[in-house]
Order: sequence, then C-alpha cells, then structure tokens
Amino acid sequence: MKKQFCSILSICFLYITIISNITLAEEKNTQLNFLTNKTREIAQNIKCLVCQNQSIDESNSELAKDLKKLIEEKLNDGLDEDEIYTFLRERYGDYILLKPPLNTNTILLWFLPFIILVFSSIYIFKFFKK
Amino acid sequence: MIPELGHVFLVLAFVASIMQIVFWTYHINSFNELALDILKKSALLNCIFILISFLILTYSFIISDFSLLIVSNNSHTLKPLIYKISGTWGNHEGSLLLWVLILSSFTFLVSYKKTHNNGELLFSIIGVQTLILCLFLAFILLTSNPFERVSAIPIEGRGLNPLLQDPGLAFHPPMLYVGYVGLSVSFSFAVGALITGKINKEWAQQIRPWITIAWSALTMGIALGSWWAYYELGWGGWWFWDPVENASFMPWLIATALLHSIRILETRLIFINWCILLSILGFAFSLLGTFIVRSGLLTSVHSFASDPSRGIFILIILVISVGGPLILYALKSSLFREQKVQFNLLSKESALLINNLFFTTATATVLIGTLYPLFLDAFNGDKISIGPAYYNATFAPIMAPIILLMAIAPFFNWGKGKSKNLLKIIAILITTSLVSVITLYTIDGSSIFAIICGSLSIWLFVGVVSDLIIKFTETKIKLNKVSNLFIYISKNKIGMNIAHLGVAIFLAGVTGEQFFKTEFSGRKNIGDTFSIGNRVLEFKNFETINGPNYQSEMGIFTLHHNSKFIGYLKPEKRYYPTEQTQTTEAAIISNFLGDTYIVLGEGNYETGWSIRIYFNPLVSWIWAGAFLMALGGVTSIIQNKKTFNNATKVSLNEI
Repeated sequence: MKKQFCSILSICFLYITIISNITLAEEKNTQLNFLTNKTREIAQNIKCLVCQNQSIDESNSELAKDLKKLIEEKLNDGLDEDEIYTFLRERYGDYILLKPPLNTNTILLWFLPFIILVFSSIYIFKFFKK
Repeated sequence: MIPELGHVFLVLAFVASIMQIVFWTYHINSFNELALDILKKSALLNCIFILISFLILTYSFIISDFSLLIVSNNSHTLKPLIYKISGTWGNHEGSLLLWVLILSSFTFLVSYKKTHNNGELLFSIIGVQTLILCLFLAFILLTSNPFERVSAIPIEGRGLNPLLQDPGLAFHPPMLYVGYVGLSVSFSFAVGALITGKINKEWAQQIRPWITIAWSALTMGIALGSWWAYYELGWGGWWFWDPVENASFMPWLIATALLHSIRILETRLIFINWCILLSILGFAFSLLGTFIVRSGLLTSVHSFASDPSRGIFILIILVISVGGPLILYALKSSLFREQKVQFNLLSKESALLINNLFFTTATATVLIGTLYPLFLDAFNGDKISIGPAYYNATFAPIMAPIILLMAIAPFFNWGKGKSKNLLKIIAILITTSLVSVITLYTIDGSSIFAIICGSLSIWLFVGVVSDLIIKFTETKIKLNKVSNLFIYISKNKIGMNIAHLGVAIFLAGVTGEQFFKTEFSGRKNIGDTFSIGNRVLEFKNFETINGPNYQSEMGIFTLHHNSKFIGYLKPEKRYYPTEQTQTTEAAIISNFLGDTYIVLGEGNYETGWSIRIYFNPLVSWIWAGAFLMALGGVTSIIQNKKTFNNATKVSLNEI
C-alpha cells in the first residue's frame, strides 16, 4: 500500500512540475505590442461588424483597426471600460457587444442556465431522498 | 452519361427506401424472421446504391467534369488531387450525399452485427434508420441534386474556397458526420425499444458500442475542426464559441451524458426513460446542428455553403423525426418496468446521475447562447451578439464541478457498497491540489481562473493516475516484460481512464493557451531581430513563390530558444487567382511545451511587414487530450466486446 501511494504521489508531482515549469519559463512581455493590454481586453468583447463572427481584436479589417484606434484614444482621454462600452453601444447598438449587457432583453439569457441547474438539482435531490 | 447514372442510383435508393418503409410498417405487428431477412438485405442494397452514386460524384470531381453544376462551382483543374476528392464533400450537395452514405453504412453495419435473439428490435431499428434515410434522400433529390447539369459547360471551374483546401478540412467533415450520423443508431435503438415496448440490460449492452463510436468520432471531428481553425484562420485561437462549433458541441455533450447514463441502465436497469429521452435528444441535436450549418441561419466563420430555402426542409425533417418519437415516448414510456434499486449518495449511480445533470444543463446553456439572439430578434427586433465572455461566465462554472466529481467518482461503488480507498484518495487529491494551487499562485497569481483551471487539471490527473495504479496493483501482474503490459491492459477496463486522462491533458492545454499566452504584433523588416519570452526571432528573407494554384508571399524567420537554433518559420500570404481570395498560412513550430505561431500581414520592402507572433504554451495538449478521449472510447469498445463475448457464455450478472 505504501509503495502504491508513493508512486501515485511521485507521478503527480512530476505532472505539477511539468506544468509549472512551462508557465515559469515564459516571462510576459506584452509591452511590445502597439496596443495596450486594456485596449485588447476591450477589443475582445467588441464584435467586428463587417466580419463573420469575429471580435475586432482578431480581425484585420479596416473597421476593426479604426475601432481599436478609437478605443485606445478614448482610454487615453481617461474613459474607463464601461464608458467605452456605453459609447460604442450608443453609436452601433447592443449588437456590437460580444458580452451582452444585463437588461430586460437578456435577463433570461444570463439567468436561465442557472435556473435550470437549480431546478434540476432540486429534482435530483428529491429523487435521492426517495 | 455517367453522372446521370449516379442520379439514377440515388433515385433507386429513394424508391427502394420507400418500399422498405411500406414493407416495414406492414409487418411491424406481424414480425417474422423472413421479413427481417428481407429488410436486412435491402439495407445492404441501399448502401450499395448510395455508395455507387457517391463514387460517381467523386469520379466527376476527379476528372473535373464541369458539366456538373457543383463541380464547376467548386472545383478547378489545377487543384491538387486530394482536394479534388475532398471537394466532393466541400459543398452542400456533396456533403449531404456523404451524410446519407454514412447513414446507410451505419444501417447496414447494425443489421450485419449479430444481435442476440432480438430480431424484433432489430427489425424496428432498420425500419427507423430507413425512414431517416428516406427523408434525407427526398431532401437531396428535391432541393439539392448533386448531379445537376449546366446548360453551357464552362472551360474552367470556379475553384474551391481556399480555406477548405487543407488536409484538416479534408478529414474533418467525414469524421464529424460519422459522429452526427452515428447518433442515429442510438436514436433508432430508443425508438425501436418504444415500438417493441421491451427493454433490458442486453439492450443497453448493445446500444453502448454505437454511442461510443459516435462519441469518439464526434470528439475527433470537433478536434480536427478546432485544429484547422487554429492554424488556418490565423488568429491563434482554437475555439470561438461560434454557432457552427456549438452545433457540433451540443450533440457531443448529450452523447457524453448518454454514454454515462447508459452505464447505470446496463448495470442496474434503472433510468430507462431518461436514457431513451437522451438517445432521442442526441440525434435531435445532430439534426439541429445540420440545420444550423446548412441553413445559414446564424452567421459563422465556418459556414461556407448555406442556403436559407433549404433550411425549411431540414426543419421539417427535424420535426418529423423528433416529434414522432417524442409522441411515442409520451405514450409508451410508462410501460417500462424499472428495477427497484437502492443506492448511497456516494455511489456510482448518483455520481453518474449528477454527471448527467451537469451535462444536460451545459447543453442547455450552449443551446440558449446559440439561439437566444435569433429568438430575441424574432420577438422584438432587438439584435444582440453573444461571444466567448458569455460562455466563460455560464458554461465554465457549470462544467467545473464535473471535473471535481470526475476524479473521485471512479472510486465509488455501485449501490450500497462501501468504497475502501475513497478517503485516502481524497486526502491525496486535496494535498496535491493544494500544492498545485500554491505553486501556480507563486508563479503567476494574476489570474484566479488560471489557478482554478490548472489545479482542476492536476486534480483530475491525480485521480486518474491513482485509479490506474490501484487497478494495476490489484491485478497482481509483475511488469517485468513488455508482453505483461498487454496482459495488464486487457485485464483491466482502462477505456474510461484513458478518456478521463484526455480531459486532464486537455484542461492543462486550455490553461496554458488561455492564461499564459504571450504575443507580439508590429511591423518588422528584413534583418530585424525581436524576442518573445526567451525566444528570439530573426526576419531573414522575403520571397514570392508560385504554388500549384496560388501565388504566395513568404516571410522566412529563424527561431532561437535560449540561444539554441530551433528551426525556420515560413508564414505565407497566398493569393488564389481563380477564387480571387487571399488566405494567410500561419507558420507554426510545435512541440510538447508550446507552439510558436507566426502570421505574416501586409507590407513591403520599405515599411516592413506587419506580423503577429504568438507563443501558446501547451496548446498541442488540447488536441492530444481530445485524441486521448477518442482513444479511450475506442479502447472501451474493444474491451467490452471481449468481455461481452465472455459474459454471454457465462453469465450476465457482473458486467
């Protein structure tokens, strides 16, 4: 039994070391990018309106480039993330946001999965009790 | 003349399938061996007819017969042979023909396989399969005839979308279709059980290999598609939560749930109705997937051949083939007698049940995310988009508990039995996971999700390895010879372990790719050196090259890691004159630790070229994990077949 658990442990620690080594080896150097991290973070949540379901972060289209530049400028003007989303929404509508905001239109979208989870859990729990 | 022959065979298959359905419904209440034999033989006949038709279409593509509409629209004489062949299913009509070919092959295989004294069930299974085949043949013949001629034969074809001229895409659709269509078999098993009104453990044992085949193929199909998107679309991502990806992911989730719940049914003969419902839903989601992809209802990066008018027809097929069985289910499901079984909270039964709870909820979440914009638009005209952020917030937290459970559930016993190792295992799991949390935190504590995701991978890995080692030591075979390894493997059922190990590896890949990715984008000219992490790249040269059916601009880079030369990277920008499209071909150096991925953008000798470079740690583990999952499925089919043959000889008690 002892031998068994020793071998389990050693294999597991090997696995941890592999994974952590890999992540350790890479120092992050995102400063090299033309765009700041914040811009890119926001860009990932903005739909490229002329593309087939891409975010502007991934897209190289003219619109995407302009929008990224716009976000960068707005950030430099001191706007925060939410203000930029609001700005883009007013200009292009909800459609441009890849992360739909919580409102009456999307309340079901955001909560339905968890409602389903809760109700089916209750059902199963009752089943267990039986 | 030859294409007409293909059309004739397709019509023949259609007419034959109608006759078989009439024959089947006539004999459904007066089943006899002769009728079954006739239906079996006609299933083979259908398969041969459709195979001939498909081969003729492939032949037309190979010889570039531009008098055929789909050949002239999707092929070109200069295209390499492999893409001429894969072009057969690189379009709507051809891919549907492939679909029915796979469907009829599955029907034939089911009828060919010896079923154990249950001809009545088999009779219904073939009948239901033929009914689906008939509907799809009608769809092809009425709306999407692959053998349609053009009045003026063009000298040259219009070529295939260059994105599809790729080995990954040559094998992705057939694999995916084997998965989609494979689920029709479990569907027919369920409908067959509803028709005959009989279900037993044998039924579950027979259905399981078919679910597993479909599931494995679906896993591989999705992985191939994701791999293709990764290297071909040039964004460095591998999963986009795109409607078409979701369309293939939902049947996968349901099939995974079914794969687990059928284990309870086969061992304990409980949850009969639930398994039947899942079988029906699995195929329903396959059809829904086909509908989403083929109708072009939702915009997607993957849909290349879509036509809204055909969508309605698929919707009708969907309603008939799902509505019918659901009505039957409502009428007859109360007939099934379940065993009275008691089990603990910590038992295999409840673990598998909780697995099903989470998997079906996860499926519902993906379904909501995929279709919600559509319904909202129809409801009040408002348009919204749903991107990865939504799924990260809903799907991921629903899946996380499954991983927790996955590591410990194999140590549970059936029913009321106590499991002896459970406490020790949980102690080991918690210790190693704590160590991993601390290690990951000290390396990079910036993202809590990275720590959770990485630790889940380790948690699961520890669980699977412990299970394997315990199985191993209990087998009492010394591992001093290689041949003993095979004996060991054949003595233990390790299909599940391999698949679960695949999930752990997959999760490690996801952690690396999502949270530890580094990237660089900017303008560089020939001679420039730049670094990403501790990798150094040098822009050596720029060349223009002529391919078989494209012109290419190629950048040549060298990669050094810790001042050791690793290799050349040659990203390309290709222009296909026939199709008048441009594609980017990313250059990737891939190894165990991660991928260096480089994309060449536009530019010239004066300003330099805009380039994007990613270093994606562990990214290849994502596909390695998926491959292991599929391998686990195949292993369990082989091993179960063996024990099944043995078990039928001895007894059916202990499976």
